[in-house]
Amino acid sequence: MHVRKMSRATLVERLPGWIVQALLVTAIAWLVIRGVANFNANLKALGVSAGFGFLHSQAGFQIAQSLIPFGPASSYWTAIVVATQNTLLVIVLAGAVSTLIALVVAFGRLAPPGLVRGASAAYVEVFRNIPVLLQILFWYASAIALLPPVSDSLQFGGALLNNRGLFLPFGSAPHVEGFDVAGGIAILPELMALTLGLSIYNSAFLAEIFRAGILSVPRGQVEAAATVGLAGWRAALLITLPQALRVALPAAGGQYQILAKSSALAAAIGYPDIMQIIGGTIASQTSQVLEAMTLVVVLYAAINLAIALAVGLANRRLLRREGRAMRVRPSFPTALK
Amino acid sequence: MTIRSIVSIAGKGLLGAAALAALTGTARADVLDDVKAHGVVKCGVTLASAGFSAENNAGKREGFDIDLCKAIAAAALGDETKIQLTPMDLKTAFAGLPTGVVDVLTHRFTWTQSRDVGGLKFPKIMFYDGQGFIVTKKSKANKLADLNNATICTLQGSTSELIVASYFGAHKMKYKIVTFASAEQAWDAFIAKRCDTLINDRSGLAARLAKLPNRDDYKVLAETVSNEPIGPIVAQGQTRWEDLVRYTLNALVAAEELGVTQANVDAQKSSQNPDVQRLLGVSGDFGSKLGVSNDYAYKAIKAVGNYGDIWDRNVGPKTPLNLERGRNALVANGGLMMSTPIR
Repeated sequence: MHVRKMSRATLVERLPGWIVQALLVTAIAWLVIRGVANFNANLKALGVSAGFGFLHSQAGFQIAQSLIPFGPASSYWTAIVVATQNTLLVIVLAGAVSTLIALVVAFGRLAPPGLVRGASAAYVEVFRNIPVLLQILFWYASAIALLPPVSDSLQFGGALLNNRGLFLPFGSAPHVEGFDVAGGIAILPELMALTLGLSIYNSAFLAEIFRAGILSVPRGQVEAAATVGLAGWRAALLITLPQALRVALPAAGGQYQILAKSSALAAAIGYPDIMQIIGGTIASQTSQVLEAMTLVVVLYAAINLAIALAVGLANRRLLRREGRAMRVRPSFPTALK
Repeated sequence: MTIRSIVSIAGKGLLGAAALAALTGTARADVLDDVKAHGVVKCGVTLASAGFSAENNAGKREGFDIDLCKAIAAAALGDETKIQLTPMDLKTAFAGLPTGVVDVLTHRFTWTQSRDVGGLKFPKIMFYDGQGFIVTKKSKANKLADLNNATICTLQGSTSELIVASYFGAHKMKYKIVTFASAEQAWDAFIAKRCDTLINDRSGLAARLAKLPNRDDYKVLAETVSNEPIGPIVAQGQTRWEDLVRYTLNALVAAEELGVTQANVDAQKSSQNPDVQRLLGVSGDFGSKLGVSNDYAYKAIKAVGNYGDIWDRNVGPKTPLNLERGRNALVANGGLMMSTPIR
C-alpha cells in the first residue's frame, strides 16, 4: 500500500510542471470562455444591452457641481467626465486634509503625557469607532440645520456662507439674488460634509499608521539630530518624518484606497460623484444599467490602481534614497560578523 | 518573473472574470411558468409611499400598488396572498426585473420611451399623473415663474430631473439641482431647507404631505409640468407574462366600467350581460388562452375589487391622501381610464 501510494505520487511529480500548468490554464480559459459566452447569450436573450452608443447622446439633466462647463445639452460622456472629476476632487481634498490632521494627531499622541497627548488619543478613539456613513450624515445634517438661509447669509470678507454652501469671491463677488447667491464660486454643503466626514474618519486611522512609523525611527536619530542643532518640529520634519514615512507609506496607501472607495458614500447625501451620476442618473435615464455599472466598476478600479501605483512609486523612491544613505553609513551588520 | 508567478497571476484574474460571468446565471425561462412553479408572484414596490405602498400599524404593507400585485397573484395563482413584496429603489428595481429578482414592478415608475426600448415593458397605464412643485408658503412663490434661481431637490435618475431641465431651459429660467439616491433623502433635504422646492409626481407629493404634521406650511404649485403615465412593469421578451399582467389590470378597469365590484362580483357571475360573462370567465376562453384559470379576472376582482374600489380604498377622498379621480376617472366620466375590449 505504502509503496504504491509513493509511486503514484512520484508519477505526478515526474510529469513536467508545464503540463500541469497548461492543464490549469486550459481549464480556467474554458471557464472564462463559457462564462463570457453565457453572459453575452443572456444579454441578448434579455435584450437589455445596447452597448455604449448612448455615451454621445444628449444627457438632458443638470449636475449640481461641475469643474468643466456642463448643461442639459452636454453629452452623457461629458457627464461621466464631470462625475469622475467630482469623485477625484473629494478624494484629493479629503486625502490632503486627513493627512494633515493625522500628522498633527500622530505627533500629538507621542507628546509627553498631558493635555495634547490625551486629546490626540481621544480624537483617534472617538472618530475611529463611529461608522463613517454616520459621520458624513452628521456633518451634512449639521451643515443644513445650523447654517442660515440665503437671506441671512453670514459674511466673511467677500465670502458668503449659508445653507446653500460657501461662496468664495472668485472672478466676481458673490451676492444674494432672489432665492440664490450669484457670482463667485460655490462650495456645496454636500462637498463640505463629505470632505469633512471622510477626512476626520480616515485621519484617525492614518494617525495610528503615522505613529507606528514614527515609533519605528530609532531614538538615536533624534538624539543625533539634536547634536547638530536640530530640535523640535524641525527635527520632526527633517529627520523623523522621512524615515517614518518609509514604514508608514505602504499601510497609508491602503488607507488612501479605503478613503477613495468610501467616497462613494456620497450617495447618502446627494454629492454628484461617479456612483450618483453614472450608477444612478445615467443608469436609469438610459436603462443601460449593465453598461453604467461596468463604467462605475472600471472607474473605481482605475482610481484605486492609480493610488496603488503612486504609492508604489513613492515607496520605491524612498527605498532608493534610503539605499544611498545606507552606502555612506558605516556598515553596521557587517561589522557584527 | 517566473512562469509560475505569471500563471498564478493570470489564473487569479481569469478566475475572477469567470466567477463574475457565472454570477449572471442563465437567462430567465418563461416567467409565467416560473411563477406557477414557485407558487408566488414577486413584486417590486416603492420603499414607502403612503397610499401606494407603505406599512400599516400592524407592519403589513398595503396600498394601491400592493393591490395591483395582489390582483396579479390572484389571476396567476388563484390566491392573492401568494405575493412576495420587495421594496426597491430605482436602481435595484431596473436591474432586478430582467435578472428575475422580481417578476413585476408594481411601482411608481413613469412609462418613457427609453425605458420601454431599453428592456422594460409597461402593460397598462394604471395611474395618469403629472409632476408638480412643492414650496413652503413662506417662500411667497405662487407660480412656476417665481422659481427662477431656485434650488430644486429631486430623486436622481427620475424623469423629474429631465423635466426640470427642459422646463427651465424652455422658459429661460435658471436653477440649481440637488439630486438624491432615494426619494426619502430628497424629501428630507427639502424639509431641512436645503432646497427651495422639490419636484415629484403630484400623487407622490400628496402622499408625503398626508404624513406631515405641519402640512399647512406647504403648498403645491398649481401648474402640472409633465405627463406621467404610470403602471406596472415587466421584463421585455416575456410575452405570456406581459399579456397576463396586462389583461389582469385591464379586467380591473373593465369591471368598473361594467359595474362589477368586489361586493357584487359573486352575484354578477349570473349576469345576463355578455360583456360581464366574458369578463368573469362565465363564457369564452379568455383566461385559458392566457395560460391561467378561465375565471382569473373574477379572482382578481374578488381579491381587490375593481379599479374604483382600489382607488377609494387607498388614495380616494376617504383616505388621508384625498385624491380626486381627475384624469384617472373612467372615460365615461370625463377621465382617461378605459379598458381594451374583452373580445
